[in-house]
Amino acid sequence: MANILAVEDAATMRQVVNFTLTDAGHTVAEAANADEALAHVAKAKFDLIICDINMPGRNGLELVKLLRAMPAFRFVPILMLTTEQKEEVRAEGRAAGATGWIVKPFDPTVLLDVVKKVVR
Amino acid sequence: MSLTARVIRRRPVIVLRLGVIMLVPWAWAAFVMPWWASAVCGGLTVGAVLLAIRFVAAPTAARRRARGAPARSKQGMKKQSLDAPVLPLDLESIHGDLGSLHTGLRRWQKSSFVSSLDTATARERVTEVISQTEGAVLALTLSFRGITSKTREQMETAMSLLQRNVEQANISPGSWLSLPDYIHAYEMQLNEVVEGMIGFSAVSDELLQHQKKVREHSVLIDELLDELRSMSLRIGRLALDSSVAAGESGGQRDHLVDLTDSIRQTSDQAHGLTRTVRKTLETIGDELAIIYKVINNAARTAKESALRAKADVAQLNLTMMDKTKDVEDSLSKINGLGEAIQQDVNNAIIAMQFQDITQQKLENMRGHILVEVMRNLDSLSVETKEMMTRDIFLAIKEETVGRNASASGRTRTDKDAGIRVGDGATRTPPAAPENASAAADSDADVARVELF
Repeated sequence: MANILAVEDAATMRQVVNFTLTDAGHTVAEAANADEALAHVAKAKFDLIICDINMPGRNGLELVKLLRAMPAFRFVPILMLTTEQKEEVRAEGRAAGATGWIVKPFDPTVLLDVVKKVVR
Repeated sequence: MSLTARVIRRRPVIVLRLGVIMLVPWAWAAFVMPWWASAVCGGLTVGAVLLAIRFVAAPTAARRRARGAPARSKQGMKKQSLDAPVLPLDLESIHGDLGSLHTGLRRWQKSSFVSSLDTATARERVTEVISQTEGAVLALTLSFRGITSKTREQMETAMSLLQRNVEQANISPGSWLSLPDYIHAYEMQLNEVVEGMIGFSAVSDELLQHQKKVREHSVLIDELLDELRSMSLRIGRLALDSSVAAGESGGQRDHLVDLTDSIRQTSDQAHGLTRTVRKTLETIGDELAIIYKVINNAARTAKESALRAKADVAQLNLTMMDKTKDVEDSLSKINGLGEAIQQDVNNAIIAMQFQDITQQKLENMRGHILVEVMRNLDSLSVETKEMMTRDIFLAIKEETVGRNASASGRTRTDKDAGIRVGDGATRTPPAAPENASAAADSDADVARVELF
């Protein structure tokens, strides 16, 4: 089972992600914004990072760029979990180094399937 | 209200003058014409005046307004002014328009201020709604988490009743067994008991065989004893004959008599012993017969019990297997319900995410749109207020007065100077009745604004 970091400013969404993944046996750490996420990754290693885009402070794409600049997280899968559906934003995410893109609202089974695919 | 009627109502003097001018060609011949011709001429004059207003005065005013339209377009009123019916532009109109504009601006400023306050209130309400929905959804999420974990635990407990613990070969006494394991163990135990009873029955049968052999041997011994008894009798008779023969022959007669007596005595003793052995054998035979009966009864009972137990066990197993099948079906249904509940929970999770999306949109509205609206309304309010305090109205009015005065040479009355330029303030306040007249004009101007 994987060690996952969920970065999401909305507490309810964090709860939902946490609940879905914990229920499947994964270990989940929560971060409400990019700074908290950076503090988490400085302390622990994660097998997967699930990140929102629209957050106060640094947005999700900036966080992805910062993470990809870190040697330890260069190859760690990062899933974007967002309401954004525009192709240009997706292209930005791809360019920033995101591994996948899940549009909210998500089906828990779909999230678990995607997590299973990206986490080795 | 039609354009002609409005012009007649607003400019009665001009209309009257126009009518008089048009009656001039008819006036010199009026005294020589019959009355009906004069009436026709009068009617035609009225019609000519109306047509003149409709087709000459109105288009002229429209052209003048069209020339002034670019300036108004900056204030966002170009479309209204072009689309709306136009009036002749003179000092009265301008005075009325400025009053109307002033009233409108004052209303605009008030509306902006109130809207700004309303927007601030709406922003607070949005914050409150976001906070409350977030709390509610958080509580819902936690509840769902509890429900699903409990449902899963319930399902696992139920399903464990059916799961065979194959690895647990040696089940310690008192340890927890699943239902199929329990049935299996019970069946094995009963089979062992039945097999034991059948074994006991077989051993009893074997014992009976041995007992039959013993009986045969006892019969043989009995025959041997009969033979021994006859031999003893013959020996006793021979000893008696020998004794009689010895008495008749003399010589060592006494010694021979003693010897035959001794033989006969021994024969009697052997006969007695044979009788005792026979009695003992008969006793043993009787005992063996009793044992045979008891063993036979026990073996039969054991066999019957074993067979009955085996049949009962088979029946019981069938019943228990049926019950187990029912239990399995029920548990499968429970499992299906559990999966349906899980699906419902998933749907609820999806639904709860809509709240998050709504919340994001509300936050966006609160953070950007409402703030922007508030800022715009505030600046609008301030600017409107500033506009109302400027001298622009007076400047426009004075310029218009000067232009109109040079064109018509007409002198303005004092009441034209009573234009309000500020927030309720009146520049060069006239006498009270005139002020009332200005207020009445202002009310009329409010309706005129609707023309733009």
